[in-house]
This record gives sequence, C-alpha cells and structure tokens, in this order.
Amino acid sequence: MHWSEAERAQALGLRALWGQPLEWKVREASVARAPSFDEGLLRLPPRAPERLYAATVHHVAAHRRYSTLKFARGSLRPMQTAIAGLIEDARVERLALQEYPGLQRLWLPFHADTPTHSMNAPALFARLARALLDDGHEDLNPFVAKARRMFHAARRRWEDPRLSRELGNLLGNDLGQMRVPFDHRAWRIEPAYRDDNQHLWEAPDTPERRSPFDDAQTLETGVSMMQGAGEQEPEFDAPEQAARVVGADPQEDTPPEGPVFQYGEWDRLIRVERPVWCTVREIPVPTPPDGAAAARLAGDLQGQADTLARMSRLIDALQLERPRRLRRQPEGEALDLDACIEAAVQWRSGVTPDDRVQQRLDRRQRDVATLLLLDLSESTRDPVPGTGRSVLETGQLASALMLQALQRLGDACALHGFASNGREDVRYQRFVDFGEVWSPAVRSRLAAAQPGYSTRMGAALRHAGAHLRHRRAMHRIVLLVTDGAPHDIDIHDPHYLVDDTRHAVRSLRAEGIATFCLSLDPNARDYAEAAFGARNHQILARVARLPEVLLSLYLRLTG
Amino acid sequence: MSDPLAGWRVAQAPWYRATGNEVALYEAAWEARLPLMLKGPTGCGKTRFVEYMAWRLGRPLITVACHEDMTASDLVGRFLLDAQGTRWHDGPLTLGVRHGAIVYLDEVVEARQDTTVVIHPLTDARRVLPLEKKGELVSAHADFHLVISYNPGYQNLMKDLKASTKQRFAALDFGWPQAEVEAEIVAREGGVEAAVARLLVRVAERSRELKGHGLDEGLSTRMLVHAGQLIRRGVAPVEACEVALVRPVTDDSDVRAALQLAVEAVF
Repeated sequence: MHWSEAERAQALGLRALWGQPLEWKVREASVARAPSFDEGLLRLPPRAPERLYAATVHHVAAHRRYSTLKFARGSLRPMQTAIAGLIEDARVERLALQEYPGLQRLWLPFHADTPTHSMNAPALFARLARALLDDGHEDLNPFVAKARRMFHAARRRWEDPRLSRELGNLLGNDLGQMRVPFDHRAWRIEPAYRDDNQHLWEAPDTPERRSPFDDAQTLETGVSMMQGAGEQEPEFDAPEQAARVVGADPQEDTPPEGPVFQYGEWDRLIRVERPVWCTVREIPVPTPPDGAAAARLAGDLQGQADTLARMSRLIDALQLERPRRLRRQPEGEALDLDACIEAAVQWRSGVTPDDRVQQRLDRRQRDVATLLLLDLSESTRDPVPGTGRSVLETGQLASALMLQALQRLGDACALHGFASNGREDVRYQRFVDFGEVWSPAVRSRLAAAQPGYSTRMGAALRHAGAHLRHRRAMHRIVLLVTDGAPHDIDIHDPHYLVDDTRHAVRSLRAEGIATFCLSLDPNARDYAEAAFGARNHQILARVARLPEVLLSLYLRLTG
Repeated sequence: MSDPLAGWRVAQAPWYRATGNEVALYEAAWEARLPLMLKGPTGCGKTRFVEYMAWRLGRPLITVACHEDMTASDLVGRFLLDAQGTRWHDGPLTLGVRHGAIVYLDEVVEARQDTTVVIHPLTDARRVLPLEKKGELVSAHADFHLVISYNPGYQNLMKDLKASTKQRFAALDFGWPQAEVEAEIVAREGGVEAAVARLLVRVAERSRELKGHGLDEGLSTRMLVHAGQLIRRGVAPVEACEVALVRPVTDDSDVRAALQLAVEAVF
C-alpha cells in the first residue's frame, strides 16, 4: 500500500490513541531504508503493508512520549549503543503497553518467532528484542536470559530514560567480552517497524549528520539505515520558509488599484474594537485568455465527473425543482376527493375513517445565500500529497464543483478570495458574484488565482459580511475554507487575530449571517473552536478529499 | 374518574447515577416550575435523568420524540372522526398541560421552528395553551412542567432553536461523565465487570479525540452499554466493540480503521 492511501487512517489512529499528530515525510522509493524519526519528523518508506505502517507509527508515538532524553555517546562502543537503543525500544513499548495492552498484538508479529542458531550479534539482538516484549516467550540463551532478568529487575525504573543507556553499557560490555562478532555498518535494526533511533543520540559536533557509531564510512549499498551522512533527500525547502517569516515588515509591494473599504479590528489587550483599522482592497479579477491553468482546472473538473454525477443525483433526490402534490394529508389546503370518498364509505360502514383527507403542495423552499470565501495565502501553494496539485488548486476544483452543484440546486452562491499583507493591505478578490452563471470565462478567472501573503481572517470576514448583508435570503452563510491559523506579518501575538476573528464572527451572527469554517490544518483544533465555535467548524486532515467534502458539508449544513 | 395520566406514570425506579448536582438543580427548577433545557450529546443520560426525576417527584412523564415532520397538531391535538361525528383528541402536550404531567420534548431541534413556537405561551408567566382549532384556552395545571432536550453538537445551520425560544428556559449541561463514573454506569447497565467496563470507557475516551476529525461526536455512554450487553452474552470484546461501537458510528473506512485500532490497542 502506498503511504498516501494509508496516511489518513494512520493520522486518525495516532490522534485517537496519542492525541496529537506527527509530521511525516515520505522517502524516495529508490532508497530502501527503515523508518527514521528525529526532530519531530518521521521519515517513512513510500510503500509498506498497512499493519507495518501502523506498527511504525505507534512505536514512534511511544518514543515521542517516553523518550525524553538524548544520550551522549561518550565512550560507548557500537555494540553498547546498539543495545542501548534496543533497551530503549523495549522500555517505551512496555510503557505504551501499560496504557494500551493490545498494542502487543500489533508489534509482536514482526518479531522473528524461531530463534536462529547463529550466535552473531544481530541474531542475539533479535532474540532479545522479542524476549523483552513477550513475557510468554521462552529463550534459554544465557545472554538473553540475563538481559531479560536485568530489564525486569529494573521494572520500577522503566519510566527513567537513563535506564536504557546504563543497561546498554553493561550488556554491551558483556557481549563484547564474549567476543560476539558485530559488523555495525552492515547491521539493520530488527524488526522492520522500529525506527533507527536517530533521535536518541546527541548530534555530533561535525556539521554532517553522522550515525551514532564512531565509524563514519559511507556505505555503497543502501541497506544500512544507521547512516546519517550522505542523506539523499532534501530537507525543507529553505527559500519558501524564508518567505513566511513572521514579524517581518510588509513586503515591498505597491498595493494594487481597486475600491477600498475600511473596517475595525478587535484588539484583545485593550478590549476595544479599533475603528477604521484595516483597509480591504477589492482587486479586480481579470478574465485571462485560456491558459495552462484554465486547461488544468477544466481537466480536473472532467476527472471529478463522477463526484458531480453523484452529487447531482443527491440533489435531484431532494426534488426541489417543482412543488409536489402530497395526497392523503392530515392537514392541507384542499380536500383530496378520493380520500374523502373512501372516508365516507368507511364511516357508513361503521369503521373509524382514516382522517387523512386533505392534500397540499409541498413547496420545500430553500432560501439560502452562501458566500464561499477562499484563503489565498502563501501556504496554499503547498502541494497536496498524492494529487500533484497545490492546496489552492484543490480549493479551486472544490469551489468549481460547488458552484455548479449550487446552480443546479437554485441556491445563490458567490465565490471570493482573500490574502493580506499587513492591516493596510487586505486583498479581496471576487471571482464569482451572486447571480453570475458558471461559464468558461468564470472558470478561467478562478483558475488564474495566485497564492501569496497572509491570512487576516477578521477583515476578510467583515467584508464578506458586507456583501451578504445586501442579499435578501432567509439564511445567509459565509463558508470559509482555510489552511491555517489567522495570522499576518505585522502581528506578533498569536492570539490577537484569533480573537479578532471570533469578534468578527460574532458581529456577523448578530446580523443573522452564519459563519462556518472548513479548515485544512490538522492542528486547527487549538484555535478553530475559539474563533468559530464548536458547531461552526470542521477540520479536514486529508486535503485531497476537499472536493467531495465541501459539497456534502454544504448540503448537510443547509438541511 | 380514572386517572387520565395512568399510562404515563413511572412504575419502577429507574437507575440513575448522578454526576454533579443536577438532581438538586432539577428539583429547584421544578419547584419554581421553570421550563428546563437539558443540553448534551446523544446517549449521555438525559432521558434517563428525566425518568428518574419524574419517579422521584412522583409525577407522570409524557415523552415526545421530535422530528422534522411533526406538526403543531401532533403536539397539541386534532379532531378525529368516528361513527358519531367529530371528536377532539388532546395531543401529548395538551394532555400534560391539562392534567399536570412533566412533558419532555426530546431532541426538540429536530422539529421545525413553526412547530416549536407552540410552546411559547406555556413558557412565560401566562402558562396557557391556546387550542385554536377548538377555540379553547387551556390554563396549565399547577403541576405541569416542560422539559426539552437539545444536542448542541449537532451541526446544521438551518436547524437551531430561535433565540426567543432559548431564553425561556433554564439549562443543565450534560456531557460524558468522569471515567470512573462512566465505568460504573457501563458496568451496571451493560452487565459487565468493572474491569471490562473501564476498558470500554477507555475506548470511548480515545474516540472522543476524533471529534471533528471524521467523527461528529465521540462514542456515547449508551453505545458502551450496548457493547457491554454483547460481551455479557459471550461475544469477544473486540468483536463486540466492532459491532456496537465502530460500525454504527461511521462508514468512512479510514475512521473505522482508526477506531478499530483503538479498540484492539485497549483490549
């Protein structure tokens, strides 16, 4: 199974058991290495069986919670560091099992069952690993038995991270004195789900990332994953990170032309809405000639044809296009003659007649106006794993689908976008206004949207509210799709814009405009509930599903 | 004259485990005949609590499960035809108002707003119920008490109580009990040992982390009781959880996988 297929289930399982997500990165397929966890980032192979992914993820989660100390290598030899890592693996797994005993059934199948007769170090390590995890497993080898005894004797110290290094020191010494051969360069950690324990050891002083072993020879084969030197895959894209530095001055950029609107902003420290604090500029959206972007969006829409077909069936099933005549109603506008006659007949026969003798027209009227507000900030440029598209492009596709579906439903819908460059330059773009029909020109406009800048949500919401204020509809909704927390380059307090967003949401609510936030940020729980309310936000971790989720979310919200 | 509310009297003491001071608060609201709103997710004990209070106070309890097709007539009453002609038939709300029962409207937000406004004249100082089709104004019996339940986690922007309705009620918040208390409830109602009940509660706690991430709500206490009942009858715990907890609550295969993993990890 490819990681992209397993990712969502693993993320959910991780959140369910450990409460917090992990950051991960998939390795290039050509490099056959075991998982590696360091600095909060887990590197995974691109393909693996689903159970192996699960075992890895939960083993690493146990490390994250219980491996709270980095060891100094000091004078430890490779044998000792290997055993220290193994003991640490056993220690954190034991602690995890105290909370979740069933995890043993997840990990144990990956441990070799039958002890080999070979007496080299990797074989003994594998036997020891199994013996430490499985109390019911018998192993008569004296070294394994001794290690097991020492481990269990220290049971009361299992919560102490230093235990592993101490035991690694002692046991490694023993094994060294028994002259057990150990080629640490060719060694691969067993079993397959365990990571290489990079995170356990303090980084050496040299700038290159070295393995915990003293010998730093780069191997020709890709088999050994204890190697840190010569890592092939790139780290985070440095230039992009620089562009998102918080606290910098507004970028040198002449604000574009367009009508200008002023809004207040809530300052949480002085507890006052500062009047005339933010400037929102409506930037005209050009209709470019069809280019690569429009062709891509058109192609994507074709690719989503079955989603659209499914949604259309759903919408048709709501049968909203014309009023239906409902017969045999207990209450209604007119008598249903057939039912009346039957009732009269029943009455004469001395039977209690059925009292549903009326009929009425079911005019299920939907009177909803929705403003779909897209976050166009720089982070939406990021790719969505497994789709070959950026977050923004996925958002464009989802919006296009929604617009088409809503037209079919007869609901009023507009599509706007925003990004901000400081409080004096909040850029707002109207791709589709209420009443506009979906057309190739609209598609080109939408496809041409460019990501950039930051996310000053409160100002954008207030301006969206201004647009909705003039719509006459029973239900008016701002549906905000965003991939991160509210933030701007001239704000240093992370709570400031969250509080301002909440204030904006409340003032819209006071006017009868509901706000709902669909967040693509897996960490959104920290702020989304504060800003929007528990009932008015949803977090979508797997962004690739945005097109189908957006539309079904809308239908669910509007009954 | 026979007791018109005989069918609604609570005969046997319902078992209820208090989690806070909700019993005292309910009794205070009852003494003032203050309309009461019980807020909380589904399956956390609201209905059981009302039954318990009805028994404790010795009052009959009329429960109405609200739904979208409910009309005002379903609550208030309507004319029926029989061999002798038309006859007015009191609805459950009128019955309670006339004879002095506790009327419990369960999941009131499911009903349309034009139906729920029927309760407005009962929830202010007037305490009257106009029966327009009949031309009668019923004054509430001194022992009439209105209680409604409301699930605040239900996300639907169209279905919400109007502000003018909400402010007529006092509210009690219900949520998941503390782990030990919840385990006690699951052990007793599900008929399983305390150790098993505690494990079931752990599964529910883990599932509640997924609220908003694929699950609208975590698993409810009621679902844990169902799982317990299956376990008591010999179903293996992991399978009982799959049937009673995981499968009903979601069709999403990723969410199911995560929940199933949590079940297997706990047991």
